[in-house]
Amino acid sequence: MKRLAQLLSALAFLGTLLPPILFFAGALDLAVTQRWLLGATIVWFAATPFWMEHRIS
Amino acid sequence: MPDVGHREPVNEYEREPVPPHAQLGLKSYVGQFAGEHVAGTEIMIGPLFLAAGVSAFDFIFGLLVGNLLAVLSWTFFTAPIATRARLTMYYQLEKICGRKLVSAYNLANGVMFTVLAGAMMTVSATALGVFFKFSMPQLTDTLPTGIGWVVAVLVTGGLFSVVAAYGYRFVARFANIAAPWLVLMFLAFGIIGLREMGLTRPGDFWHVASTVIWTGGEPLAGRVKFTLWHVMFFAWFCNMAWHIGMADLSILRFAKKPWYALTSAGGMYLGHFMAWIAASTLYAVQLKQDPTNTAVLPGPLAYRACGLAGLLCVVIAGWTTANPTLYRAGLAFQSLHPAWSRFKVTLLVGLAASVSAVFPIVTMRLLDFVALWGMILMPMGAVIFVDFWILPRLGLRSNFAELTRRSINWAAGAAWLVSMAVGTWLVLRGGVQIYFVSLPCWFVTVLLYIGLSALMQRRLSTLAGASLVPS
Repeated sequence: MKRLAQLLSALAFLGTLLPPILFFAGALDLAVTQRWLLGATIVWFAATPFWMEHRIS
Repeated sequence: MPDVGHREPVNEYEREPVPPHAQLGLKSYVGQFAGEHVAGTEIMIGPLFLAAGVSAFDFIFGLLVGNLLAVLSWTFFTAPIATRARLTMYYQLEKICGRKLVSAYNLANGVMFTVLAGAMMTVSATALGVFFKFSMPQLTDTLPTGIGWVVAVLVTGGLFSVVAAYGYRFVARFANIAAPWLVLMFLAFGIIGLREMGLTRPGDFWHVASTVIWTGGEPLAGRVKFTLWHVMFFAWFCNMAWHIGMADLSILRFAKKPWYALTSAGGMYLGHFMAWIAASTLYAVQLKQDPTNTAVLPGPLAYRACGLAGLLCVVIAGWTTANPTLYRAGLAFQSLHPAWSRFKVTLLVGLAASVSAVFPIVTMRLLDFVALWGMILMPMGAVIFVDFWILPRLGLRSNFAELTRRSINWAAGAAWLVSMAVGTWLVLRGGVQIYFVSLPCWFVTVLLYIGLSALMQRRLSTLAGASLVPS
């Protein structure tokens, strides 16, 4: 479960990073880029709590 | 600006040095600074540079140098004392200044945290405006712009306050999870903003930056023109309370080595370089599309670039910054009267922050507010610096309040008050802008504290005939 969550978080990370780069390169239009960002955001917040520890210093 | 998320109450070693077995390695600090300095305030601060008519060279070179100075301040001012004394800032201050003076410091700290939390509520409320279409404040507004704005801010502030009072730890954990995503979202703001400004090849960045985005013209109405010096000093001093002001003694006291403070570069160059540039670019896109729309409203700015994810970024960045800020303000006020309920104090602080958030003056003048924060809280850091390094070399005693069992060390109190008075005079009458005033004030505090300590300690030694001042 933890591994799956980490994989999903990694995909969400890429899903947040890559669409703006593709938009910059002219490969995506802005509306599609925004949809990718929203989808990646949902996946990030759904998956990351399952594995990321909370550090309190 | 810092998200104060990591500054939870440290229950261990609050009144004793951190022992060797509790000290932390470099890994614990990598990422911590990066996470805490990509905060809701960055969305607001970035555009204000553009509103101040900054040029590309002044902006980018000023940020590079100013942030470097901030990193060096953490490394050479804060960390050496933190890793030698290994005490919290508050306990160290109490030993030097006495309990009553620390309470006065906490009061000032609490007020500043409350106003900052209010600014975060304002930032988040602008996201609601995208959907509910109420009238939102313009750059020059100081008063509420209508009932819709007031209701949006009070609802946002109320929710933030209740959550901070009830579920602080939940939001702190949520902030931890959100931190990497926030960094990516700011990067997305920047990349999309640059493309919208006409940049198609990375190699053309400087040309587009200097001729289209930060052209260095006149500032917008009512703003001060920013030069290289303004940007550099702002970037250096915006966290002054934490480095030169020594608030981060509480964090760095756990570091095994003082050079771990160099990891603050992660926070500075992600939050106060990349994020400010990105947010500033979004504002440039808005001005390009409609030159008459000079409002700095993070919600619409982020929505235009990144859609709903951008709006979520504004709300989450504001929320995760406001939450610990309210909590810290509550703790600061509660320290004045420990019997008070932290829950009730946090709710009251949230109410005060919500009311202050209705008035957009602080948010629209955030650069000035942050500089003022540094001017007010920095002197106590100068007192600690002198007490730790200089007084022993002059044959004077450190930790005077603890030594003499006083509740107020008037040498420190007078140095603080006079420094603030001198700073206020320089700004109001002396023609010195608020962004620069903390530098002369640091020297004023240092000289005053040395002089007054010498006078006070020698007088007491003479009166008591004791060896308060070693020969």
